[in-house]
Amino acid sequence: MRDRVWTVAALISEVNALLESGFSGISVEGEVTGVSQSARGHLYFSLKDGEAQLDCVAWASAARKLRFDLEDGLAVEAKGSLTVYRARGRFQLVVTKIEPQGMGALQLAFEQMKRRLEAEGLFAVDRKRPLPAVPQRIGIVTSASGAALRDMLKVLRRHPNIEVVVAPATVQGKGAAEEVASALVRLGASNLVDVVIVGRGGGSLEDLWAFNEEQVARAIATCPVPVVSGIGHEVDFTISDFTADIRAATPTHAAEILVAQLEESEGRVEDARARLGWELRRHLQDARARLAAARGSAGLARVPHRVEVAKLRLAAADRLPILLEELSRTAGHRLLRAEAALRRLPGLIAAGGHRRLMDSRTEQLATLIRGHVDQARTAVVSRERALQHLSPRRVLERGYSITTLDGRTDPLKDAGRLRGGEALVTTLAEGTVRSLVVKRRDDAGSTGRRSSTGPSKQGSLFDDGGSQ
Amino acid sequence: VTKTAKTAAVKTDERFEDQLERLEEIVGRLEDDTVGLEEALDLFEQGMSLAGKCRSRLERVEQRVSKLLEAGTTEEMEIETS
Repeated sequence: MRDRVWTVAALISEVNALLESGFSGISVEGEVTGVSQSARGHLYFSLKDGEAQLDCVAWASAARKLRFDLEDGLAVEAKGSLTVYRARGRFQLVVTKIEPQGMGALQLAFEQMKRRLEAEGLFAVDRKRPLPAVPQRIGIVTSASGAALRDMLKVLRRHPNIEVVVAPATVQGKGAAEEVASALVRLGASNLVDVVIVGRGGGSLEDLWAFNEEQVARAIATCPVPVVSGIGHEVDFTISDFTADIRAATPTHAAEILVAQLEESEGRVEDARARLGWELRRHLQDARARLAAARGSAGLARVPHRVEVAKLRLAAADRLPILLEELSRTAGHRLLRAEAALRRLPGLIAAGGHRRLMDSRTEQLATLIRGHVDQARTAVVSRERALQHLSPRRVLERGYSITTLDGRTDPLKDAGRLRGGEALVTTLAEGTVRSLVVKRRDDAGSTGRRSSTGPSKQGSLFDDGGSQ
Repeated sequence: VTKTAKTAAVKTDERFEDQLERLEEIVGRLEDDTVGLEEALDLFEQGMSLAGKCRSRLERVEQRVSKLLEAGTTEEMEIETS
């Protein structure tokens, strides 16, 4: 060979033959650097370590099979064959397969996609849409034959007012990502659903891979209605989970979340309805009770000071004192008007209402009105009982007494008006005492309106008063 | 009959969420002791009407499972759930 003069082409061909026979199907480890991709999809890069650098190329056919993005700095193991690039006379590794070191290719691809979409803001909390208050028309993207669909329907069918539209898609293997994405787009565009579940049962990272693909993530992000993801098991997180508005642990859980939301809305409506009835009843009862109390006060007036004492007692505890005065005038009139309005109600509701609801409502209102009469009656009785509780007798039993000037009925409140020798009548819990005023004492604690009269002396009105 | 009822329900422009919020607000006001009897009756009437709307909104659909076809139409879907 030494004696021969080579043409360049011949030499390179010879070297190439040697390289290809000696270095085909080899594996090289190194750090990726200088990655670039041609318009046709060929990947050019170098592998280097501390001392040396090797040119590499992955033709488009091989590059397409790469699950992750080839990035500078990545430690990889590349498999391929050495050949010479004839035009430059440089040898290079034609790569057929690249595996990242330290983790699987899928895991790396997942991390890269997650990082990229996260940086883009696709997972941002403020992008998340709340569930509709009435998730009633539910779209499902999943395999028509999978256990996930059966599991979800099992939950959703427990609720009578749920309509399900299934957009079937292959959820695993070649073409799965395209199918899932297009099913999402179709459901979103259909205008048939309030919310969409993207679901799939458990499986390996490879099995769930479609849900880590960018096109699925984008279809979720751009879906016009909120998307709930229920992919794999509790522990599985996919890019779709991060992109979805709500991530459920499993397909079943996704369905449960929607049923719970619907039931919450129903509960709020029923609760509000119940409270409306209850509160109205309370207002009516209250008004009736006030009226009853006002009427009852006529009887009380026969007992000296009873109303006066009751008023004093009630002042802090109840609004009754004011109402006693006002309501005797207005309550009767107002109640009559209220009842007339109530009687009008079924008609009013019927005019704008739903026939089926109307019937039940009319019935409810009839019950309500009947109830008012009974309740008003009960309220009168209970108020009377309450007033009795407040009767002066109870006050007197606790050791208080009421004093009047002899021959008068209004309670004596001011000692200043008394003169020595005047007769007083003191009502005790048991019996009354007639006594005479010996002397009026003006002490510091008195109301002081007549503080000018007489020096202060010991002895109270009751102590000193002579009994009859 | 159900078809026209459905259409009418869908045409209600106010969102369910807003109706429900108004309803709860009305209940809140009705809980106030200082509300007069006439006003209480007005509130009750408004509340019942809103509750009726909310209810019919919740009953808008019937249980059904259908399949979305490529053309965008749907067909009944039979699934064994047991």
